[in-house]
Amino acid sequence: MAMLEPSGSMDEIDGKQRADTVDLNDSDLVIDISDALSEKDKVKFTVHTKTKLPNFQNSEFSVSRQHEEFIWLHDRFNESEEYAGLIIPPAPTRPDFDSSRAKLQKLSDSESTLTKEEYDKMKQELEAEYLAMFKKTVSMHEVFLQRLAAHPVLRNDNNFRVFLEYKEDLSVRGKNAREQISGFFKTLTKTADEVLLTNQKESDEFFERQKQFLTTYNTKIKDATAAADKSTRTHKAVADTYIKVSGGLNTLATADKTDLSRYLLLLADFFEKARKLESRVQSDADLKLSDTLRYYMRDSKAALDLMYRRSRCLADFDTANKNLDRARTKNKEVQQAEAAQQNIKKKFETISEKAKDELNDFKTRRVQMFRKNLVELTELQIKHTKAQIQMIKGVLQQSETLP
Amino acid sequence: MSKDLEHRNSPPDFGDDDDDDNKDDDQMYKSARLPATDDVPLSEDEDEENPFGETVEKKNPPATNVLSSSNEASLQISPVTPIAVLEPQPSTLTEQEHQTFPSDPAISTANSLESPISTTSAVTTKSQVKHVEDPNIEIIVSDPTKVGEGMSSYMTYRITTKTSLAMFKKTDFSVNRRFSDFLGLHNKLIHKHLQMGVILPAPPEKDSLSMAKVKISKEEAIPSDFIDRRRSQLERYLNRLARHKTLVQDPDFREFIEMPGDLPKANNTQALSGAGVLRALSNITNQVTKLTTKTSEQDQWFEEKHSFIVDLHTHLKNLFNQLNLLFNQRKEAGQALKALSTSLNHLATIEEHTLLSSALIELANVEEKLEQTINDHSLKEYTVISELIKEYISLLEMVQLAFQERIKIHQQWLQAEDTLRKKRETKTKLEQTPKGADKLPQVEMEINEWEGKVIRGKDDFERITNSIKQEIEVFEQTRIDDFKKAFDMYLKQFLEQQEKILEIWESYLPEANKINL
Repeated sequence: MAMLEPSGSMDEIDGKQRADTVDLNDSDLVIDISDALSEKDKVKFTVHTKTKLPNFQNSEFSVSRQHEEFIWLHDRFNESEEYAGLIIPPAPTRPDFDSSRAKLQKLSDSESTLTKEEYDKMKQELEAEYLAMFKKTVSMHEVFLQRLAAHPVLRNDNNFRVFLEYKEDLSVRGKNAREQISGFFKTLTKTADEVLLTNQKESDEFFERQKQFLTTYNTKIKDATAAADKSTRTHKAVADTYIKVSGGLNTLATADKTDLSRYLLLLADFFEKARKLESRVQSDADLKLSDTLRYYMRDSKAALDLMYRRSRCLADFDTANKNLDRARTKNKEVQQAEAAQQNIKKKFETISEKAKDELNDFKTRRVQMFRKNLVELTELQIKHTKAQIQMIKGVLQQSETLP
Repeated sequence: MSKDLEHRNSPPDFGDDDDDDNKDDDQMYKSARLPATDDVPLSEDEDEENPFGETVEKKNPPATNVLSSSNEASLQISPVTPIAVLEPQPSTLTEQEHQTFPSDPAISTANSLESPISTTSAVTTKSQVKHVEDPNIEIIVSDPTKVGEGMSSYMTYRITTKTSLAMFKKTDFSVNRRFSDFLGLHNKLIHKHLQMGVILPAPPEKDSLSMAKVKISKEEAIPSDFIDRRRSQLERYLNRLARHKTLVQDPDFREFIEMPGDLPKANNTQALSGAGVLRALSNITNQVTKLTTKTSEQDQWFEEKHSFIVDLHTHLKNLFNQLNLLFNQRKEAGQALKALSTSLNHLATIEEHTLLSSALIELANVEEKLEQTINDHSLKEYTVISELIKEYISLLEMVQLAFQERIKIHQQWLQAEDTLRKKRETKTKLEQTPKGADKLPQVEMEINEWEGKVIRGKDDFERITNSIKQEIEVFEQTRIDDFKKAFDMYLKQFLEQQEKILEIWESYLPEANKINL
């Protein structure tokens, strides 16, 4: 169905530079999604890589990937012990065009109750919405890969290389029922575990503070994301109603044989123009504010996951210590216990050390991204508002030329 | 005029309905009962705006900053449109700008000098000037006050008139009136003028439910939006009356605005504000009676006009509903902004990075300010456009009422002719019988009587026909002027709102830029 143009023309529409959302300070590995194709229920992303790194076969190449393969990659990172001390970039959400499709369906159902103009306009609106959602999902998938590429450790992962390079399908089928259920239980267990660990004694002040901060932050930002989404929705509804008002004015204009008719037409046109501008305002607010909030909601959750892993490790460390003491007193299997304890101690220290860096980095990234997006949000709103002002002035001028 | 002789047999547009004039007493106007949405109740928390009460003379109603700024802005940018017919609608603006009542182009150009910034000063040359009637009377309705407590309480309104018309004793005067007084006035005016072919304006409807709420509410908690809307509608009503060259001279009207002290309580206000008219109207239009086969030009005119009026009525109702929908949605959008603002504030309190935290707080402020502009704008939108449309919906019903009255009068005339014919037949018969001779004088007397009635009937019909035609002309011109002015003001308010929004975002930009690591 919809075929996306390469970044250039898309950006014209919403001015968003997808590649800028992540701090790419390295040109050794540059990834972008150069194309995306929506086919029935699937979206096929063309992942395009340019690299100077030696572990890749070529310096520039493209592969086709679907959403499930992104999830596979994320799971590989998330479940790997090696990266336990790192914040794993949140996985992109599944492309969901159901609501868009449902709306299009509803519109075509009510086609008979609308004038042709209204119908066309609303269809236009929905198509624009669809396109915007499409762009967003592409962006999400892209940012995920770019975060990985930017991370000094994660970028060297073998699975990552395979994902980027391997021409064939990764044969990652979606989880079957059993796997889904076991995945569900894993989440449950984790949550239960998290609860158990909340009372864990944390001697390190830094981590204690971080845990508190992240937990609260995650909650607050979740609220803010929901509020931002609602705001976008309600404003969009207003813009859509302009279509109706414009239609009503047009009807009045056609029925009126007096001078008023032209005035009414002018006003109908005004509402139409206002609608387009208002839609832009909302979609930019969505892109810059809502999406930023949403991203950091998910990223802060990823950070919390890190905290969890560390806590779990700490708990295991405690257990290993106890085991060691017990073994020593009983003088049984002391070496084993020692080895185990050493192992876990090392693991814990590694995690803690890496986690500190990661959490500081999280803060830096967060501040940068918010700044960038808040500034862009403001600039765009200013731009659109100025356009509205010009438009209204134009309409006023035109109205003066009327009898 | 002589053509009317032919017209007497021409088919009126509407079928006959009720038989006698007495029905008029009960057949009061009824404002539009909209199909789906009734008048949208403004939100309960909107107690701030009271645009109509606000004038340069500083009446009591709560003024807000937004209001005063909109006044200033309007002084700068509004076109200098001369007045008169345009008055009823945006009373705020006109009151401030056109304090004196320019009745000729000379004064209007003087006004244009007052608003130098107006790029639209060219407007003075618009055709509007031609159709202006002397706007030498302004009426303001203000200070809704509750009298008494509980179910027997009522609201009174202060009616302030400024006028240069000679027929009034003073140039500035005030009285207090209650809602039922308005209905009483309307009743009297209908009685006197409907038959003369006057298109009367319609006062706001009775709303027992909302009034009951007002009656039982405590002093502080009076549902002010309902009352304020009513006040605004009453003001429009009175100004429309004042603009009408016949009605402004009506003694009942003059007494209404001039006489201090209470008016005798109007009875039968139930009937006065009933739902009868619209139903009655729809009955009529279904019964078109064609009395002759010949359709005269006159009636064709009436038929076309009637059909236009009916269409316009429908379209306006639709538009009104759409605007109501818009109003509701704007309200929701405003609420969403408020919630967003709150959640951003909460986020800011937890955010560790101080500069980001401040930026978030500032953003929360931005969203809150945006919410305020949305609310302001929505209210203005309602006041300027929706209320006008609502008024016209009622006015169009009154036009239909006038048309209907003409038909009734036509019927009466025809019936008089019919009776006359029968009497003459009777006379002829009597002349042929010997016994009938003594009854002859009686019949001849009756014949005289009915000949008179026929002549009067014809005169009445001609008079009402001509009057309605003239009224329609004025009505149409007023309609054009009213709407143009309303749309113009609306666009300017929209512009104002956008300029405010621009300001808000522009002042945020440096805040956002302050964030650095």
